[in-house]
Amino acid sequence: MSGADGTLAGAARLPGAGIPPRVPGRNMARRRTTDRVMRALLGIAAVIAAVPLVLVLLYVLVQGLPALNLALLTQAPVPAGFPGGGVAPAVVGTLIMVGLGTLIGTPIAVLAGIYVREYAGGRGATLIRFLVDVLAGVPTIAIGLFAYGLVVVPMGSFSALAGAVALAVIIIPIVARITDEMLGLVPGSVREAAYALGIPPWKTIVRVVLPAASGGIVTGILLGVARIAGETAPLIFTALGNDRVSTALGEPMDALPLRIWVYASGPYDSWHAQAWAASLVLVFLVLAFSLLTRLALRRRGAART
Amino acid sequence: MSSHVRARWGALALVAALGFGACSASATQAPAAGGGGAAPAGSAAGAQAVDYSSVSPSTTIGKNDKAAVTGAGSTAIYPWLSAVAQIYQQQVAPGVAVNYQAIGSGGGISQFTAKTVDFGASDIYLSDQQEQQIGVPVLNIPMIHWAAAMTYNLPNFSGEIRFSPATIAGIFLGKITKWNDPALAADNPGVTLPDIGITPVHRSDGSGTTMNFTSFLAGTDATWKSQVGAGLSVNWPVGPGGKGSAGVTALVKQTPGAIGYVELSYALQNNLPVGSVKNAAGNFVKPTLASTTDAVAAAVPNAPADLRFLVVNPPASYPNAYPIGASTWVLLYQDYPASKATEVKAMIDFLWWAIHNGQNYAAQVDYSAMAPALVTKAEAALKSVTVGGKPVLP
Repeated sequence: MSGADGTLAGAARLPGAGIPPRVPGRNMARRRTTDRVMRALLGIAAVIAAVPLVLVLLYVLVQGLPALNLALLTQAPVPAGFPGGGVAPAVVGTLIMVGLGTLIGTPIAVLAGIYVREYAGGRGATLIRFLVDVLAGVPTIAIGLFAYGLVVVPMGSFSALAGAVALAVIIIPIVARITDEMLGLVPGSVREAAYALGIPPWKTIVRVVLPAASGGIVTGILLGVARIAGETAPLIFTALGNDRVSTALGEPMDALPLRIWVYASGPYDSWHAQAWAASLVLVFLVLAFSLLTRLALRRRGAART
Repeated sequence: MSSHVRARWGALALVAALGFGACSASATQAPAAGGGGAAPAGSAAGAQAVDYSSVSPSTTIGKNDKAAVTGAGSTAIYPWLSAVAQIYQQQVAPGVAVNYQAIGSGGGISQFTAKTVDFGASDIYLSDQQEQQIGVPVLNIPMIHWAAAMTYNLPNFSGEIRFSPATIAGIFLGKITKWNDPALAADNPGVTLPDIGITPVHRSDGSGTTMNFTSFLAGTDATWKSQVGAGLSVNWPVGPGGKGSAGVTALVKQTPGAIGYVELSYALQNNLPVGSVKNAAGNFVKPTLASTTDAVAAAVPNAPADLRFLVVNPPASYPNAYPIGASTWVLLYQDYPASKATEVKAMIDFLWWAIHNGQNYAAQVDYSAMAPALVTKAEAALKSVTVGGKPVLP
């Protein structure tokens, strides 16, 4: 059946078969020129899109490297205006809060994505997708205020937990939407094949559909982690910041974007240098995490086949 | 220039204190006997010569006690308070981490009202209305004094600029727009002022520095009083705003022709010039330790029992006083829940240390130490703090 269709379609696409004779040469030349111009424009646009990334990375590298040293990563900040010190509390805090936020947010997000794609009916799915999209569009400062009201005020204290909750709320729509999309890319025939073997729907999802979509879902989680790792606004009124290394979830905690924000907007030259170095550390952390996860994923994929 | 050099040396001394904490630990923990209210009598003007460690009682915190204390508020007090908090942890109580976040006096008052911090810090005491909003009895405890410096950015100009209150009001009202305006020329006879525009920079957030600065202007300039008034944040007629003392300092540093008002150490640590301001006696006075201490000396004898007072616009009987002096208060609840006993014990011990030993570090970061008479009053206030109804200090 598909063979017959293919043959027909192939025949129809053969040059000269069943279509009007070639257009005159001048017209063809114009079309070629248009083609070249448009190709060039698209190419230029693609380059322009890539240039900021390269420039940002280069700029952060050039500005950040001079102040990057072991002390920056191992020492706590010194009082305002004094030389030395580092951003160790911010590095520790970012790792903890981004980790915790991801741990809280991604299971909810993946499950929500599965529900929307596999279980919710047409109208329900549309409604939830719409709500998730709206949540993704809520300014993160508003999510910070939400977490302030939800966690900080009832607990009577700024805390790393409140920061992680805010970050979780931000990562949920990103991962939920991508999970939804990735599950949609798994062909219906795969599901049907599983059903035909008598495998129940839940098992089909867990053992067949999810593994097929796992690469895309992990990429989505990576995008989400990279996004929340760089968030400042939701942490201002939740994590508050801390000049000491703290691992207590019930206490205020520092984070790299918070520290960069404070240092970059301050007047001290030493703050500016450390803000650049901290930016470099943050970019490097996100890149390293992304690379490691991809490597792990590839190795797992290789082991399976 | 000399003040810059002094600031640097002060910074070095403090770095030494931070870096070699172990060496001087014995000195800070020393005397136990005497304690309490036995503050030595002395003139306010001589405050910086007093060794406050001699009136400090032994600490109530043990070497092994662990506690995390959170405070937030004034950015003006941040350089001193963050330094003192670190020295306290290094030399007195290794387990006590006092985390102070400089979010501005307005933010500090809000968070203290919302009861999300252990203590607030504000460059202005709480008003009756603010205290009512909090709903529980609170304490305003003075910690340190400082000067709100008029700092500016004039490229290729090395002279010192003098400001009368009316000129400052004119600049921040948008009426004086050039550095060589006749009003400024009249304040600075014989000085060739540059022909560039003035950018007056104010605080964008709720700020006690703004409160003190606008109180100073409202007390000296009728137009300012009627058009703008005084407050933590006012309706600024002109100019950009910076967030926190650090934000204003950064804006001034980056903007040629800018002028702003910040706590003195922010200007000195960033090598920005500070101007002299004309006081009630008609003298142009630079913000220095001595001139700030004089301003405080004028205010402290009149300080009420609840310790709510301003140090701006000292009377003409203090001819060398800087007219925009200020204080920072730590805001405490009268009573803390018993569940917070450990934190509160650590916090009170730290604050007790800060109003005694901590005052010794004031001059090094260009703050003015409290007069002994005020320390005695602050001691009494600290002693009245209770946890679950029981006093924290003996």
